[in-house]
Amino acid sequence: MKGQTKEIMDFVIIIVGVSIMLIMSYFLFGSKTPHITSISIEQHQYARTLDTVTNIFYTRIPGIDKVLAQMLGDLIVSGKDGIVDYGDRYGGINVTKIVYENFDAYFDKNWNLKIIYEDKKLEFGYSVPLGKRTRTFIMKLPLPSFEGESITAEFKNW
Amino acid sequence: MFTSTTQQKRIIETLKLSKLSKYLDFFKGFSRESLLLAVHKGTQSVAEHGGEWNEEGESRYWICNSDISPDIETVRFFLSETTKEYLNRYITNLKDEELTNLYITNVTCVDYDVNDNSVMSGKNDERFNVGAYGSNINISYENDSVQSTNNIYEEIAQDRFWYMYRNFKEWSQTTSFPGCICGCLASGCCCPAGDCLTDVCPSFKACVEKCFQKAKGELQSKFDNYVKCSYTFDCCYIETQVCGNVQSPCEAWRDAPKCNNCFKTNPGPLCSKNLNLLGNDNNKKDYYTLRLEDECKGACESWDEVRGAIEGGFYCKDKKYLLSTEDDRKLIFSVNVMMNVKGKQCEKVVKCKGSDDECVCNGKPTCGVWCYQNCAPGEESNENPPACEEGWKTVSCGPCDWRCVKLCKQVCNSNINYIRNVPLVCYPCTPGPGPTYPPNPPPGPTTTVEPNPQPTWE
Repeated sequence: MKGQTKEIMDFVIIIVGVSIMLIMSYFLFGSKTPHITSISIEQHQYARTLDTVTNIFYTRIPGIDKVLAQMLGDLIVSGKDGIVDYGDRYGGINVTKIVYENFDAYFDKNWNLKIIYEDKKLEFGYSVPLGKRTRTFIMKLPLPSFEGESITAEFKNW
Repeated sequence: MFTSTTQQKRIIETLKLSKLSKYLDFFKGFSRESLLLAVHKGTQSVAEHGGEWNEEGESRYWICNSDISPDIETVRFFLSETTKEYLNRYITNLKDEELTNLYITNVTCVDYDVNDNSVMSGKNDERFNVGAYGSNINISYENDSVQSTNNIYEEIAQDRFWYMYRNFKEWSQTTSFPGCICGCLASGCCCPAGDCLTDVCPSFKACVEKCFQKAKGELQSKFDNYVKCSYTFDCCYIETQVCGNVQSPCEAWRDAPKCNNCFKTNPGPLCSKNLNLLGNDNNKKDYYTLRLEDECKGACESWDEVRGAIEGGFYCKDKKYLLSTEDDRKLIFSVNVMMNVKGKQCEKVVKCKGSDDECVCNGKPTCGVWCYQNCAPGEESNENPPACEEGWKTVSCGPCDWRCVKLCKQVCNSNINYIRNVPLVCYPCTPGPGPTYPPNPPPGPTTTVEPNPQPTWE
């Protein structure tokens, strides 16, 4: 009888121990791994946003041979109704259209670019949805300026 | 469990560094764009001033009596300095922003990667490369940081600075402008001194205007249809001096009282060093000696020394591309020109008319006075004429100018040798193949002149 009781006790202890280990494993591994995955995914998304924004300094728009950052600067300083005059060779270029084409290619309709300069406010893209995770990159953009001015622009995608 | 935690840390660390690295790329992109804007502003500023400007902000002169246009190395220097200044304004402003994690240093060198061949062959007409060096970037986040040099080498397109430079350079070396202005001195005869942009000397002004127009035409013809050229005629001064001591039709006028900025702003290197138009003080000969060498034919002469000083500018606007600058985005290349010249102009020569008895000079100049006469005038004066030796006649050559003239048959003939200034002596005519000098010359002459080597006889 005494031996049976001991056997039952050992069994219970093993069961409890295994249960505790299972519970601990759940918290240690089960919760962290998705967290890391989630961080990685989010960082990847953010890196993609950064790459896209950085590319406005590097990628020349075909046919115009200018980068988007240059065109945005010209639009802010001397553009009118989204159009910038680039002389007799190119005439007026619809920079707004190029901005949409550029970012739509990366983020479909899930982006928004806001620039505030002096009394001008330029906004491109689409409305930021509520309750959805949004990646925001606040960037500096040099402007055509004698004083070497630059402005702050806010890019969001979701 | 511990392995897992380490892996998490490593992943997060990698992600952070990746993020910093991307920020680095972003700010390098910012610098790159800043360089492009600085180049556009730099080329526009330098072009507007013809390559360089002095402390007073005055533009470079490309013609100061002759071509003194800057060479490519000079322009490169000023372009580099200007562009560096503009670029560092962007960098400094970025530093001033409260971006506490960013450390960026100024650029120490901007280099326009062009040379004589690439520019003058037209290779850099519409695109050229510019490098900016010496800047460093450091971006930190928490305990992590990334750093890198911020060297940029960028192709600048749609900026026709070197196209404009090339054509202006070719033009300044070949333009007819300096010669044309020299030719205008002739139209300044008898003009009073003064500002010829007014009505002081309309003929001279009109002539200079034509020179500007002609030179503008020559300049315009070098460009394509996107470029329109024009000129400004900013300053004009003229004065004349009757019988001035000038030697040639056009030489440098070194002390023009007006329209002489070329000399003031760039004393040696720009103008005076390059003034190679005709005159040179070291070669100056005694004028009257020169005159006497060929004055045996007997003539009266008069002339004006006409001095003209003009300043203006030529500029061309390129409308093919508009630059990424504020305000006027056209590339305007502008150069200044200046001419300070003087010349022996408005010469009038009246041959002596001879009679049986004497050599006379008649005719009236349109302005001024007769500067020189190598034959004795016919009119005599009643005012105490000095006595001449026997066989010689006293004649008046003007107030207080009495001369002894030998009366001879071959009046004003080439075997008669004259001496300038009082008293003028006419040696006796003697038969034979060459002149014969009197054994005892009459009183007065202290200098003799060489006889005509091939005298003619009637």
